[in-house]
Amino acid sequence: MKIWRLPILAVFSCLLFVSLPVSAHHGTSPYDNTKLTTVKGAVTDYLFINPHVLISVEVKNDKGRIEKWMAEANSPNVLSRHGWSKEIIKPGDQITVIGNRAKNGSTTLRLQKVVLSNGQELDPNSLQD
Amino acid sequence: MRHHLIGPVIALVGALVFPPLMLAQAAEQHGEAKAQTTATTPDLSGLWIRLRDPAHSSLNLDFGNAVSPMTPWAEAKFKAANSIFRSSSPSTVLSDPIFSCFPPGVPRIYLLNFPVQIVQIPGQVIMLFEFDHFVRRIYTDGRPHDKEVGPLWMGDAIGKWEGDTLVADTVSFNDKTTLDREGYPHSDAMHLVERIRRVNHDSLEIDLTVDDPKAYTKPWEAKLNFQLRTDWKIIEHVCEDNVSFRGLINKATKKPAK
Repeated sequence: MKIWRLPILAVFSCLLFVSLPVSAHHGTSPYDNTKLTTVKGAVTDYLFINPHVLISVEVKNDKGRIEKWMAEANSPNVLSRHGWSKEIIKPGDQITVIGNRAKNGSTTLRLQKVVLSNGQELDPNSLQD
Repeated sequence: MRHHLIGPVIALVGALVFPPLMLAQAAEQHGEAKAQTTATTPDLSGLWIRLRDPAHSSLNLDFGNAVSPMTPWAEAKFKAANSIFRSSSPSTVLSDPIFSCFPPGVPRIYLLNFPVQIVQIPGQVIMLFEFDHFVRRIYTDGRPHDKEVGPLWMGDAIGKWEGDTLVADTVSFNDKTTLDREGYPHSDAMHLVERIRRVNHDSLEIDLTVDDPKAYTKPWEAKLNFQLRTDWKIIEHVCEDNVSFRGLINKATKKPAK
């Protein structure tokens, strides 16, 4: 690998998967609560359904390939009390999704935050049952 | 002839006039009794949401360190239930019985992040849970526990007032529910005592004691705090929706092929 490509790869990696330590007070679960992963892409589906809201996003990885990610949030009952609605995200929207990745390596996140293209941040507030 | 009619006429007039008067009098007395009940019974009513306590993070969703040491019987049950929660696959978590529409039981239902509306009528404190719309009735009319029913998912609850506190006493549980999502078990011998008190207009606390000699070596206690939400309402929540969700999450969380 040519040396000059390394900084570019590093920047790409940071943009796609930023891992930050967070408090793991929720205990062990299928999601890695010790790290935050950030992905950015276009919404393909937004299901405001019980028991948990699901957001599907197509993300271009560092090899230029499209990966399908899904973020699992809380119940719409809970989210609607924290400013969410079923219209707030639409297919095609460019969003940033931040969450805890599934431990089994699937491209699935437990949602911690969404940043809309206009900069608005949506916080699911609490990630509970 | 006229004299013969006087009696029935008086009787008819009496029948028409006095029953409404008597009813009105009875209603007035009932109203007085109701007012007396209202005046002397603490008011726990309102829509409440449990507060997570950052200082006691273990009580966010599970009872963590609050529980006493388990008996061998309970240890085995805990291991089996806890393996579901600790699975590395998000879809496995859906094996938790509450996702198959089985009642979460008490006290687990308090730990779910959904509000509860408390309604009081004479002789009953009624908890209307948003989570799958479970209803729990705590009878405060002095009746004893119903020995003819059970084992029950939510138990048989009676209560009495001690000053400003409702002391709810619940027995006749089955042993199919867990106390929290971590999987801490209980047996059909669980005796749950809750001291429910409105601390101020906007705050409610529940001090609960779990006494279950089959599952724990000694009784243990935990405190749950709730906040009044006058701006919220109970929203529909139907457990059967989990069925379609299970399919979606199964598909999305498949292990990537190596």
